[in-house]
Amino acid sequence: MLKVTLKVHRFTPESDKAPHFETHEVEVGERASILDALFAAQRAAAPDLAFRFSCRVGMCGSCAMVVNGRERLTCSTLVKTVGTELRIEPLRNVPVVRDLATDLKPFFDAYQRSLPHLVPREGLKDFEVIPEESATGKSMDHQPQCIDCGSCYSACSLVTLHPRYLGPMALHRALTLVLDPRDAAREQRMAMVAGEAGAFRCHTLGNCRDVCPRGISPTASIERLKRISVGDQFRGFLSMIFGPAKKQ
Amino acid sequence: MTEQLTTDILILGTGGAGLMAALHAHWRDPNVEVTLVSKGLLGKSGCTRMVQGGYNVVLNPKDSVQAHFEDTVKGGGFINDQDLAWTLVNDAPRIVLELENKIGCLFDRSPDGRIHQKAFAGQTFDRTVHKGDLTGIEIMARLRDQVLHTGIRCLQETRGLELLTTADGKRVIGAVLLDIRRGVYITVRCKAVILATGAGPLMYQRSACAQEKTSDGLAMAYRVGTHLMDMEMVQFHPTGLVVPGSRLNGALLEEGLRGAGAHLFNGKGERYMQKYDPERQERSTRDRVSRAGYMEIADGRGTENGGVWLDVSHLGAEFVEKNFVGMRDRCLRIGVDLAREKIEVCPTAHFNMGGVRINRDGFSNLTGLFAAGEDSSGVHGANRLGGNGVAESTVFGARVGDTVVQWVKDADLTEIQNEQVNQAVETADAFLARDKGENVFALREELGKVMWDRVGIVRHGDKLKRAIQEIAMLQERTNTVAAKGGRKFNLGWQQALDMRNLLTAADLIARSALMREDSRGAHYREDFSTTDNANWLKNIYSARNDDGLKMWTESVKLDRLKP
Repeated sequence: MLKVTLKVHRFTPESDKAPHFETHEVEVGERASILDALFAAQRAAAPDLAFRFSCRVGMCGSCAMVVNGRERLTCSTLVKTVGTELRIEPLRNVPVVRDLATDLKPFFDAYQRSLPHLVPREGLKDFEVIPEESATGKSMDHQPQCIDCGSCYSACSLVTLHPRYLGPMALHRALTLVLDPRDAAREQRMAMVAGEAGAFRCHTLGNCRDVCPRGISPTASIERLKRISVGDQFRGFLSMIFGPAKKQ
Repeated sequence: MTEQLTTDILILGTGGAGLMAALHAHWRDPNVEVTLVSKGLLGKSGCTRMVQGGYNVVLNPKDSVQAHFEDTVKGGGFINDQDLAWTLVNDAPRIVLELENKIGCLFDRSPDGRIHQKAFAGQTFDRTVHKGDLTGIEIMARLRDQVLHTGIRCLQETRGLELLTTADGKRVIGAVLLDIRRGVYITVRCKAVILATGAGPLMYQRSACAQEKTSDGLAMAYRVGTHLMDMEMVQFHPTGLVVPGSRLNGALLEEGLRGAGAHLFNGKGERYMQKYDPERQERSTRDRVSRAGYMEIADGRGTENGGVWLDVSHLGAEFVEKNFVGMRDRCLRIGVDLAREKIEVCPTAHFNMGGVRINRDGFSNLTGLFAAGEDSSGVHGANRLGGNGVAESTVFGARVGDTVVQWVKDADLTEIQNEQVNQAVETADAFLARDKGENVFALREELGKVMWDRVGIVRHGDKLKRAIQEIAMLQERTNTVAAKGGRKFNLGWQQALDMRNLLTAADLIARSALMREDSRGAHYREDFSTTDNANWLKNIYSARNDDGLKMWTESVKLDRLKP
């Protein structure tokens, strides 16, 4: 068993003047996650502690919090890998609803603005055949699946500076769709990528990559979007001088 | 005081069934107003998100819908509603294509670029479409993307408390909701309610489900007199993780591992499935593999922590690393490398085959109340095949959406009965009003143990009778729980409300299990250990009427396939 000291952020915006930290001493098993430690505190002394979770197996992305200064998916992070003194805070760059639960509206609003849904091109009938070794197959994004936990949005300094910035997850999704052979909205997506809230806001600090619990590098995705965008502009420039390129 | 809301269609639940229903209703007629209610966050809540292995569907010309149907009905111990099972297998090819080309999922391809279908246990053909071994993320995230695009209203972190009916109780006309974040009640007046809350056997101490799935839909439906069917049929998945003291305990390792050739060993190193099902061995159906594991453990041939061993290392580390990335990650987190060593597993409560009695378009016995997905019953009979769950949610979600959007055009809004609203509010508020009372988290643990020990994988009449008494006592004690800490995002209060629903469903499970004097699929009675087709090709119904609980049986219609 591990003896753990939790310092938990408590704050009800409507009634508290300022947040405070509440200390809970709990005992958990060797293989307990940080989420398990929160459940232990809940059961013992803090039944009304507000925190968010659902699947507890790293698939839903509901339980990301800031633990000892860094965004972590709490169900998938073992206590012993971080330490037995844990300071647990809500995600950053989003308002707090209560205690550790945040309102992810700004994060999902940015995502929604980024046109995250597939716009199927006309004539899609059967399952698209995408051979592994084809140019399309090779160029598609093969990073792990995003669980939209908000860690990247919380860790991104550019989101803090520019609240209109779409942020890492939304741009990573944009890349996936730009490379998807079934999608018909490439032009709109690239206009958004090149726009004032888009990829060129990124300063390549890599905070999002460092905290992603799924091992995605939104930084790399954004860099790739920048290259595609510059390539598009260059081609546009050429066609302005030499006329539209012939389809091969 | 409660807030008021009026809408045409109210959908409780935002997993695969709820979101498909919303999209289909909206696509068919954007002028019909749909309101979604999610107990968690849109796209993240429920078990569709947790789907690992994938989606059973007939796409290969060498496979056939008839074969998928027969696998489903044989797997279900022949008490499936055959019309529902046929609808499932028949609609699935169309719906999975819609998931790809309209909703935007991109499932895995074979190297030649065509869609890949993998092997799952209990099936005669490799027909499971998937995205790696974490398929549900793709399905739910893309459904969410489309719902955001449509602008359909979604009340997040809001739960259903009670359904509202006309004075004669025959028609559902609304619901009382609770906004969990703000602690505010909302009275909804609507033309139709679609229940898609996903049931969920979380009343067992080992359970695989998403943590918010506390049988809310089933309990709400029961309280207004909806006919429920086959409540005794609770599926136990054979390979849940053994992680004592952690919520990860009972979380799944996916079916595809057995499909790919995993071996199961008891504590003595014997491959015990050779004894229980010599032909199919580890690729047998979930009910048999779970029971075998349970019996090995009960007979003292388990591991130190009360499990058995699951081993895929003989398939080659490279194969496992490539095909089971998510499962390997899950095991690495607790210090086991699935590609190179065996891991301790134990059966875990996973799925309710039973639920609201529906027809193929989701109608219940009450006018205005529809259901789809795990809240419904009949599709899977006594046992669900792996990969048929997400197929059911999306197929029947789509059907009910298409149906209800037409149905509401001939329906009116009806005046709410205020006393029903007041009753719902008083019941929920009572927990907050008390100063002192029992610890609801401790009560929940007690219920988990009662259900696991007495209403679990191996059942007996005497134990079931005892369980029914114990559940009644837990109900009384739950009525004394005090939930302090205010209304806003108070998880202790939510847990008390959850507990009330879990107990309602637990009681129905135990009573139905006592009534079924037969062993079939997931339901196994030591005192009636054989499958009795002469007397028990029947469904068990339960419903509340004015005198309390009424239970009865009806014979299964065997119009497409006979045992």
